[in-house]
Amino acid sequence: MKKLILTPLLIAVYCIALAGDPSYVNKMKETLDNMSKCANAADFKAVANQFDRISQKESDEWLPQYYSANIKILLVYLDSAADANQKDRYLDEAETIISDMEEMEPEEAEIQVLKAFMIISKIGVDPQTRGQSMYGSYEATLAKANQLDPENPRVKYMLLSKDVGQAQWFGQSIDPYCPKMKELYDSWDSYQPASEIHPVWGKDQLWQIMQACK
Amino acid sequence: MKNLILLALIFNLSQVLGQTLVKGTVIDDLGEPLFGANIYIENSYDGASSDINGVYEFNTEEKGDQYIRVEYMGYKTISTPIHLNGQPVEKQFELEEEFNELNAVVITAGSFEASDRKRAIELSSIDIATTAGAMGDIIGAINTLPGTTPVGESGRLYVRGGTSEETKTFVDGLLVNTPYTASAPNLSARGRFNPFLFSGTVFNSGGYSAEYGQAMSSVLLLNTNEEKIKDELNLSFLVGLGADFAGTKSWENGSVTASGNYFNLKPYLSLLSENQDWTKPAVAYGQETSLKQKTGKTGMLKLYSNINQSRFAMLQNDLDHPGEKIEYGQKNTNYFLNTNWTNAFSEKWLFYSGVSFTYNENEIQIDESPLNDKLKAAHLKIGVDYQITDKINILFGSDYFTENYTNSFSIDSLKWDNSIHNNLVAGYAEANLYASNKLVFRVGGRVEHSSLLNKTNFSPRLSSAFKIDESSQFSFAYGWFYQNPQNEYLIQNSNLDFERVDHYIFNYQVNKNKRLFRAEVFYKDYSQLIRYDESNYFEVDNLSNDGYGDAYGLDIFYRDAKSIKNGHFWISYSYLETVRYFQNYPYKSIPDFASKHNFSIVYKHFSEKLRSMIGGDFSYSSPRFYNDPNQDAFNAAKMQAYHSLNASWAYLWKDQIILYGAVNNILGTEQQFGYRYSYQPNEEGIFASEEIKPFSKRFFVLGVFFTFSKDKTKNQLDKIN
Repeated sequence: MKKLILTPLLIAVYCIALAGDPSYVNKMKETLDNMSKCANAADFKAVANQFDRISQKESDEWLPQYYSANIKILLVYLDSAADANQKDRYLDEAETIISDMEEMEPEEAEIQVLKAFMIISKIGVDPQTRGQSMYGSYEATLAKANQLDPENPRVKYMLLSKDVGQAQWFGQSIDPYCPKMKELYDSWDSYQPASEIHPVWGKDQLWQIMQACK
Repeated sequence: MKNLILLALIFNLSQVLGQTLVKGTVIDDLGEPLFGANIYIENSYDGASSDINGVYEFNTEEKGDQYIRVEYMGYKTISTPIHLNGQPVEKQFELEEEFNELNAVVITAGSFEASDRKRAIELSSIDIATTAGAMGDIIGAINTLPGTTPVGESGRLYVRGGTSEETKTFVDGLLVNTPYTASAPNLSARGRFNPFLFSGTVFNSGGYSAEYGQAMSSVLLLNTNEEKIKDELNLSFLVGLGADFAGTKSWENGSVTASGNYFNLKPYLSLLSENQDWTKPAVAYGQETSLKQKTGKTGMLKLYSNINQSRFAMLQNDLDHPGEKIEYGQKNTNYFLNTNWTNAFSEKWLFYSGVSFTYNENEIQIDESPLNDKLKAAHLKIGVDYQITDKINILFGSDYFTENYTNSFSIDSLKWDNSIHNNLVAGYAEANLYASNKLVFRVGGRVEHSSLLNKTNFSPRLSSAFKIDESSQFSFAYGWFYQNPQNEYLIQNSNLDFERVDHYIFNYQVNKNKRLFRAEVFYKDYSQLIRYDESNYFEVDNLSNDGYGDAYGLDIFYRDAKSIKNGHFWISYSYLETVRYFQNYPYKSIPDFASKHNFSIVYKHFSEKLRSMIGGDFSYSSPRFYNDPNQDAFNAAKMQAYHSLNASWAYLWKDQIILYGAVNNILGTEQQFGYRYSYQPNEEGIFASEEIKPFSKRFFVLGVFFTFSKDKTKNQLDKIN
């Protein structure tokens, strides 16, 4: 009799134990949530560490690496204490992760978008010396992203931001790009990410550059 | 009893369910806390980041024997066993700084690097291409760096009291036998290479690696572009001078750039040649191709070719027959082909192989008398870089140089035809030994055997660098350097030995906040230099290796890309003391290619508002000495000091069109490079003379550059910025 009582109890206890072991997706969601709450460079670094911990356990998944690399690139802009050498260190780390991911997922447009972001950030550290030699690979990376997934709003956003940046650099009007930006902004949410933990960023950044339009 | 079992079970379960608290601190080897280290149980999500005091704390549901891992950027990762049983565990970690060659100290003695990728660069490749006074000539830009003496009547590189033949140029590691364009006697030559095809340039003014031989003073290393480039067409027109057309096509793993150029100086010279009488103004045309193809994941195949032909003729005063003129005409044909393959067979093994060919022919006419010389040369090279541990790597390889040189002339009934053939085999090995991030030693040696001389030499090379703090360091270099005597001597007599020089270099450098300062002292001890009594073109008497000499001095360099917004500049100063007993010098004298003080300042300013890149530079060299046969003392006559103020302006007119203008020697300062003399004294016993001057006081360039690419806005501004 007691055995009968005990068995369900045991099962129940084990079930609780299993449920307490967070699944990959839940852990990612939790970490993405942490990322959205980051207030400063130190917070971001801690979250990057969390993504790194997930990626060492889930070595077949590229998304934890993606976010870790993403944060490292963002730190170039967020870590106000970083000098040029420190920025290069962040970007070198991001570059290593991105090459790993490229091997894992050679056809993934999101990775190419991130790579383009990494390259343009590298140029930004020292545009005078790196502009000429690295701009070509920035454009080539975006072209590859566009080829892999032309409908991806982040691909479209990066291409537009390149055009707008060039126009501004040459002192030209950005008006020709405004309708396209507006269209992209309005249709942004119609693009369905492959899962709830896939990248979704870009809409806010697009809104930022749209502010230069009349 | 059953209660007991239940109890036991529950106790067991509590272990299954129970979390273990893990906490502690992470510090570095100096005891400083590390902020932001990642501490976690391997193969689990459980872990934490250390806080500003290096303290971490987390709970884990893992149990039993596990591994805990600590990671921190720039430090060696630690992984150690941990037993988790619900009892709190306290773990302290001390991380050791990771050795990383990229962040480690670099030997800078004698070396100037211009590249785009590295952090602590002295110059960028664009700096080389856009120095105003250089007019797009790599050599001209290098002449603004310390250690060089501009020699206006030659245009070649003279480094730290060495002749121009003591500097060797390498493209992707392979020797360029004829790096300069052909030029008339006493007129300036230029480098043969288009600066835009090269993205990494290293100018070594001494103490270089055992990988390079047959260069006593300096090596100039040019590396072709590796970065991805876009499909485009470029057209350049230089008013009154010529045009250049280039196209680039790229694909997934490679690209090819091909260019053709045609220059005819007739329109320009008919307007502006004040000092020379041209019968056939210079005409030159050429073709350059650069191809790259990635092979596999880690391989890179490169091919570079440069084909060029030029000719000109001019009248020079015959100083031995006053009132008469001699026509000097020259046609030069030059091919250079270089192909090489680099591959990393694993993370530890890097393999390099390459071969280059040079064909150079000069057909000279001096008043109808032909004078020809021809050079056929090849360089084969194989090298391996092996990483033994993270702190030790060795480099070893072999060079094979083969050279065939002929010259011939005929004047009236006199005929001469001679040739020499030389094979030179060399082997080198060198180890880089890092004691830490802060201290490195490079120890190497090179053995060479020349078939023509039938002699073998061994050159030890040693250098070291020590980092004082994040931004400053000392380095020193020592080595022996050998070189074959010039072909013009060997063709007379091959029973000679190598020429030799020993280098001692000490260097201090601070690189902080986009400002770089370096100071270098050096001493060079020359021996076995070629000596002869008298010579004309055809005969040299008493050739021997009895010559010697020395050179010492101080080089200062300061580059600042910070103080002026959108502008940057560099200043070079060299102090040089040198004497030589060589060639036909009757006694130890200061050679005519050395000046005691050399100063140059180069400024570049980018203005977004004016859509322009404006550059200016100024060079000064104290007077050099030359030999006046009318004086008793040898090499005792003084030239004028050399001054040149140069400026350039590149203006982005339309998105695809750049206008470019440049002036050399804006002020029109008198530039004079000594005198040339008659071979025989006249009846009064005086050697007639004539001043050596550039062909015009100033030099102007006015050009238009067009770029066409699929991407409409792409233009060449990145080339001027």
